[in-house]
Amino acid sequence: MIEVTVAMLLVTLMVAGLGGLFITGNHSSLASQRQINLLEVAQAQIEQVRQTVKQYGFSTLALNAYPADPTHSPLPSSPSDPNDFLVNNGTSSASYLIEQNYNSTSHGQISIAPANGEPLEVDTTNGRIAPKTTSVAAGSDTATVWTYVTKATVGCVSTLGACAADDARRVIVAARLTTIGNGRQDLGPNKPVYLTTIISNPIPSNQPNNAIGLRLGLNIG
Amino acid sequence: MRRLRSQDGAVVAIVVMILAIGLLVGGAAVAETLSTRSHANRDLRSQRALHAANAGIQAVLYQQNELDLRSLELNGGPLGLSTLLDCVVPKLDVSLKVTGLVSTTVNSAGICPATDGTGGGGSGYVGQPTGDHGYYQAVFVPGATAPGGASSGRVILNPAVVSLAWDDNGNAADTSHYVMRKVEAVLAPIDPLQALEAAHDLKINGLLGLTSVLNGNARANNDVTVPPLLFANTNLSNGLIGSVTYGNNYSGLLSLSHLYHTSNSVNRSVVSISPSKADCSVASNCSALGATYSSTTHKFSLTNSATVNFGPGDYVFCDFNATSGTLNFNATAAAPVRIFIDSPTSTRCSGNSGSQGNFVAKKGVQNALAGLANATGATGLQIYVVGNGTYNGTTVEIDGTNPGVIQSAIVYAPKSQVSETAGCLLFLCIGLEGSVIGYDTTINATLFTQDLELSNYPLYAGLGAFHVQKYVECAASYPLSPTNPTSGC
Repeated sequence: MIEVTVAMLLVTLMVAGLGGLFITGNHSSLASQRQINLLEVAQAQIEQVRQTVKQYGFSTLALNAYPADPTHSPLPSSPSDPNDFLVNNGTSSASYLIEQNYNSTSHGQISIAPANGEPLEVDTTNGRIAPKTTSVAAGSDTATVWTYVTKATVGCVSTLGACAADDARRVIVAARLTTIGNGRQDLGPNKPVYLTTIISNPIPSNQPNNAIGLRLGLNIG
Repeated sequence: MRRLRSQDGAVVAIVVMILAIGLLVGGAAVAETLSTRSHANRDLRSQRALHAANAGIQAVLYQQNELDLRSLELNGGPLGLSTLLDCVVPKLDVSLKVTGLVSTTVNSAGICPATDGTGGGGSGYVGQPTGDHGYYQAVFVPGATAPGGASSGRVILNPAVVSLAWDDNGNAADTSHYVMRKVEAVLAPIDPLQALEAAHDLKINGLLGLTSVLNGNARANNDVTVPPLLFANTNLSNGLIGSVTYGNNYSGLLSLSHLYHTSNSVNRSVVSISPSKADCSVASNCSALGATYSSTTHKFSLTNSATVNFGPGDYVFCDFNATSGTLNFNATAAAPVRIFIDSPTSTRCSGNSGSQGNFVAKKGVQNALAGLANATGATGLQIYVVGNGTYNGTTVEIDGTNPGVIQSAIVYAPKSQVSETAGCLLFLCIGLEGSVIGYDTTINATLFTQDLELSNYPLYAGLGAFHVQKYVECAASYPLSPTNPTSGC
């Protein structure tokens, strides 16, 4: 009788443990799925930016308005608001910190970034990139997407004279879940997912005499 | 009772079995969960690496497009393409900031030297950070080849940019756990236009069929026929060889010092014209043409003695037929006149009746920039003919009648039958300038001089000379090889 009781106890404990494990695993899988969805949202935004440049030209690769101000100050160690990385926002010296790890600000910026971050590209006339897009579908959830365009440094041919300041632009996309459709509301990822790339001017603005030569076989627009 | 007692141990065995199964199931669930998490994180890091690789391609592409292409002589001028083999390599400070660029030459493997921080020549590339754990190493590969041999003076570039990028997850020292992506951007090849090109036969008829001067390079995929006394490179700097390349037969008594036998030396694709491209890039240019131009048929026709002036800009016609009169092409130093003859089967032209797709100027063309030193003015008049899809199916005919006017133009009609004739009065003939590219190309002149400044005018301003044709994902391994960066692509 005792051994039956012990056996039942063991089985009960195991079933309870397994149940907990399955629930945890399910949550973890759900969080992973949400992260993948967020990644796809960020990826789609970068492709959309590329398409904008292709369609409307490099000069339109700029924010069409200043982003909203940061919600936290000083900068938290793991900001939930991507705008927290803005410096001097809304002014002509607005810039964005280019972090080594956006979810751990103690690492600081990448080595090639200026102290206050890279200058923000804002062109309210020609810019075609919205700094924030809400209610973007991310699987069964919705996300908010932040996009930043900064002046990146990739070097230039100094023998040509003054180097163009903004012929290379860094695009930073952050996506964060805002509304959970199905499942636990408190599951992550609670922090934004970031993707970064650089897009350069196909015709350097300091190229002498615009001497770009004859190129054949192209569609002439 | 005894039977029951004899089965007491079975409960333990069954429980152990259930526990074992439970542990197995639990273990599998844990493994699956961890695997899912791992894959999700790896996906994220992989995407970061991919975008970092694209950043590397953009950076290198930009630096290469900053080269002074005019001095690179894309037409194969005095310096040929030798200067195009230069690499622009970043110089970095201790913080990896780009402090400048240096121009270096390719290494023995034909690759731009590694950036070790001092500007090139090091044993390895320095990773450039893009943020959020992303880095790239990127290099320009000129891909220079000399189809006719090193002495032919003909160099073709098949350039590429290779970029290796990785996400180090915050641990730069642990290279074994980098998540890497490697991308090769295959750039458009660069093959400079020569003085005379024929995808099939090339024929030069000199004075009384006996003599002529060729200042530049000529090549044809099939037969080349030149006057018995053909002098080459008499009026150019030493760098431009003045060569003739033929694919099948060469007919000429004089053995040139630079005569090459090479198959498929001419491989030009036709220009494609967007259906939405306006007939005149400057609207007033079309109205200035008056009755010679029909906006309905998109044809130009001049059959009387009138003088027609073409202002700088682009023109697209279904047909260009001038059997009389005077054609002035008023190019300026800042802007050329570019004539495009669309395909008869194009959306623009397919509704027309009659012959079309040709460019005929029986009284010649008068380029306002003609006759400049080294024929630099020839780019002031550029004529592009798409053709009808059949070799020699369309015609380009430019006949000079006035010995006081230099026929100076770039003719690009790789699928058309092209003939150009200099103006002569008795034995006084004046030369031709520029470049002529056709399927069967015939030149009737005692002198032809290649344009040495072909890079002065853009055909299409939306792309740099170096631009991406396609992307190839490569097998990635760290670090990028300085001698074989395209490995795995």
